[in-house]
Amino acid sequence: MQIDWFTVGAQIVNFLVLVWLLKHFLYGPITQAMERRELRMKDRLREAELKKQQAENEEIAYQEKKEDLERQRERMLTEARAAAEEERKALERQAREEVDTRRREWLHQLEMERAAFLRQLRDRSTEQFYALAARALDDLGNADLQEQMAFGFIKRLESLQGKAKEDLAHECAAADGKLTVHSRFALSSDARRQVTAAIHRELGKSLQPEYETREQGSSGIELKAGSLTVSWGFESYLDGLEKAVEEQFSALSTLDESRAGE
Amino acid sequence: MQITPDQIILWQNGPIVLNATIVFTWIVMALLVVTARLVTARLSDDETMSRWQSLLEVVVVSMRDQIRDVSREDPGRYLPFVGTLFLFIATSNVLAVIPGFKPPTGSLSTTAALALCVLVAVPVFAIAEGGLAVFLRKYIQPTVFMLPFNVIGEISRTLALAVRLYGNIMSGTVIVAILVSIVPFFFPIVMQLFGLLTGLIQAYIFAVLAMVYIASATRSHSGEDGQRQSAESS
Repeated sequence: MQIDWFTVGAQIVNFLVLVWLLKHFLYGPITQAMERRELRMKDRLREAELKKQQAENEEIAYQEKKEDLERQRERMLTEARAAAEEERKALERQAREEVDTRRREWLHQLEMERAAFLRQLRDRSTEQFYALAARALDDLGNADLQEQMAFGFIKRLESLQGKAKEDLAHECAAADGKLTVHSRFALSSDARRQVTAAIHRELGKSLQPEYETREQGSSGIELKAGSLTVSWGFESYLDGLEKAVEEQFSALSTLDESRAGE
Repeated sequence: MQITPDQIILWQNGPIVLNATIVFTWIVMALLVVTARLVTARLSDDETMSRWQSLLEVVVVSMRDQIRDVSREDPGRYLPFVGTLFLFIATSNVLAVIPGFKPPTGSLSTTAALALCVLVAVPVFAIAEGGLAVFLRKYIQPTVFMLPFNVIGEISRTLALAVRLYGNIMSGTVIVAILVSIVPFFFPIVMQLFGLLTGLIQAYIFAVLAMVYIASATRSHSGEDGQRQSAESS
């Protein structure tokens, strides 16, 4: 066992050279590469953390937006429901008003038709009644209806007493003796003579009655002086007929309403 | 029988002798440097890396961890010296399995050179850490009378380091040589494999002991400094 001091020195130099070489070719580069990798990983981790945070923020924002939308949707739905309900009520109200209006119009129309019908019925009835009465009188007693009507009117005129009679005479005098006798049908000359005689007898000889025929007004004979009127006709009979027909109409309409109510 | 490669002289010119120890040392150095250069020429600092880079990183990281465990300091300053000790000795010892290769660590000159390097490195690191006065004060602690014993301790420690490595490696080579002459088959191979293990262990022991010596020198100084600073502040 011996130590070669030249070799020892050479080996010391060799070792120091090796230390220097490895420091520059091994430890330095490897350590730096690892540090770079570590830095890069830290950067990536930080970046990932940042992105994660960003994603979480976005998630929260999205969630809030979603909730906002949900609330907005609910509010819009509620408003839409309220509006629809309001619209429904308005339409219903409008429909009811329309129905009521139409019903009123219909009832008014019905009433008018009914009135027209009754008026027409009255006119036709008057004519028919007149024709029937004339024929019945002629058949039964060979009597003239117009004369009978004139007789009825004269009896009515004669039955006036006291103040009523005086008022009538006064009105006739105020009209300068002009008075008008209306009849629905043209009176015969006999009937006119009888009536004129009765007027002269009851109200005054100076009076000059004029005879007129007219479709409207009394169904018999009517004396008109100023504002006063004396008449005889079939009104009471026709009123009875009209009343009976009206009662029949009322009964029918009551029945219809009760059926409609059911 | 040549028990040390120092005796294999390849070329001589006066006092300059080129023996097998120096030549095989150059071979080991060339192997280490070329390998390191080839691998670090294409270093990758992202997730994908070559197998060789991965191997070298594992080696470097393991050495750094080991140094950190022993010194409890940042290993960056000690890594080139201690790491090179380990790599050089380990490579030399492992290459001993190649027939015809004479490990330089089987030469007392090499181990003495390495031990001398450690002997010098201990005060160099200690002085770099705490200063010359602090380092020299350690030799007269606890009293001036301890100075000779401390000096003897330093010398014997360096001798032990040198002789331990030399003895182990040289003996491994000698045992194999003897066994080859007695039992030529099988048994020498087992001993060679055993030699690989002891070679690596010796490399580890040498590097760790060097680190322990350096760490004990630097830590004791910094510990004294810390105690003195705390006493001054109180």
